[in-house]
Amino acid sequence: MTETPGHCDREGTHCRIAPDGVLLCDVQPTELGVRRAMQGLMGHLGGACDDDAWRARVEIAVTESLNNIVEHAFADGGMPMARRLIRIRCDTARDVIRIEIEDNGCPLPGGKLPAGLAADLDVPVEDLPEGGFGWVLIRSLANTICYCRTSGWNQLKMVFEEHPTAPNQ
Amino acid sequence: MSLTSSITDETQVVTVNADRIDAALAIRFKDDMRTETEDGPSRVILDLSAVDFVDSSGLGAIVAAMKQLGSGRSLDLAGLSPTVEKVFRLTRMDSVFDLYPSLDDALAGIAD
Repeated sequence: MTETPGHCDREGTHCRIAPDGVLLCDVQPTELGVRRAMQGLMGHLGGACDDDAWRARVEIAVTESLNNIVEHAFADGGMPMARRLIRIRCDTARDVIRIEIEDNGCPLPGGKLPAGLAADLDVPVEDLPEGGFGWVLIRSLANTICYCRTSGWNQLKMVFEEHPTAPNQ
Repeated sequence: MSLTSSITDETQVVTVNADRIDAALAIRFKDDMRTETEDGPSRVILDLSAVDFVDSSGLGAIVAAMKQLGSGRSLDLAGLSPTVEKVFRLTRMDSVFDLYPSLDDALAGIAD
């Protein structure tokens, strides 16, 4: 395999580009593993699209999705680290980026996507939230999001169009 | 230490020496901010010029850093990259902090 910006193989996180141009990443289920996977993904996207704002939307939403898996899907600690698996598939076309993330952790609560409601910020400083932003960001940034649970795997599919019509992106 | 700090007159400038404040750095950042701002001027400017990316963990740590200052002290943010600014805007945290395009603007009091 030739070295490309999207190829990395470091400490449990591996990215490679399939013959059809799709980027495949196996992510070490740790915070540093997420950081390395995002370096691989963004290196790949840097060569595939030149719109900084488009790439930023993907970077924020995918980082939050992976953080959620590391912090929540594998939160109970019951599964040995070596059996915890996270995989990313990134398919780029001319004006759309499709991301699929699979993990074998716990399902999302209730088996469905969280609402991702913005927190009330009209509160005293000491009561301001320090978390709960992840799904707000994901829902704001992806054009479509789809979640399903199949045979012990979570599958999250997100689509990012280059020219979104939603006003807040 | 992920931070360096200087104090001029009534303002402390804390500079982040990392390109990402993500989940892998957030706890250390919060602890380092506590150490740097344990006492000092009432106005603290956090210079984010070197930071390309902040995730929700990093955002939470910046909120925590403001809360740690206590009443009567403020945390202003300077030099946000377009990506970092987007995270603040989408979570509406841009309404909680005073944001400045650059450290010079923050020192001069020119708002974003």
